[in-house]
Amino acid sequence: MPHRPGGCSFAEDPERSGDQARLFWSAHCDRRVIVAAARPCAPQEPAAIDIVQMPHRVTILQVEGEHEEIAIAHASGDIRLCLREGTVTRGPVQLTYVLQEPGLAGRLGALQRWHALVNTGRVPRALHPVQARQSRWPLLIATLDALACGCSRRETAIRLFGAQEVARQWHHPSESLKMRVRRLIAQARTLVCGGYRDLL
Amino acid sequence: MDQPNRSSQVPAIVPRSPPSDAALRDPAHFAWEVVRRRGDYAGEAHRARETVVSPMVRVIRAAHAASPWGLLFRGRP
Repeated sequence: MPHRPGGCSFAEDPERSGDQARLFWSAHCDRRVIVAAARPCAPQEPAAIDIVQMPHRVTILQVEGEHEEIAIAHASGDIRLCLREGTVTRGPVQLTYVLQEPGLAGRLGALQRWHALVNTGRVPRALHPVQARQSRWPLLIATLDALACGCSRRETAIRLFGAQEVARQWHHPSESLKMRVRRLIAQARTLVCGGYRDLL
Repeated sequence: MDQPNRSSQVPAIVPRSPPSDAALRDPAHFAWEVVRRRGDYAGEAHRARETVVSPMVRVIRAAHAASPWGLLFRGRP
């Protein structure tokens, strides 16, 4: 697997938002990427799978001289495969999976979701990974946009929580709102300085 | 897994369109929303060729990445 310190196998256009972007975080960085080798086979062979015939949106990335990467979109997220050898573009294959540390637990979870998707066409909710602090993500992104616009801490608070709430809470003796905004700014800065890779 | 080589210097940040719920559906998408706000990020998608094989399948073919970083942060993490 090519080693990509920045974390991505494909430098997507930054104008594309997350719901439009063709995301290929590398297997080194993203522990939910399933690493496999694909061997061509006849359709009737055991465990033969024809990924391009699956009833899901499939995006295949072929970067010159590198391994094939595949993203399979399903109702509850994406499954990502990185092929150490072979291709899925020429018909059915048998996949041999490569499991190794680091990130073994994440890859096992991804493999369970993939197995369910292949065999049942869906991924049961019980297999969805639990995302800690996901409710903070919109606030962190809004904080980054406030920083980008040169907002002061108070202006950032107004963007995030509204003028009324800030007028009510900003000078409260507990300083809870100020501390909350300070924490969000610090976290947003950490994320943008490379902390984004800890999410994967 | 890479250990982030953190820089204490915050890169320039650029505002982008507010993400929809779908754009923040998992950590990979959230991480992208962070990355695309970095002013020192240079996407290379324009150098890729996308072929729609069928309504459900598309193939992106790209030349070898110009940067070993994958993400083009001009030497920063």
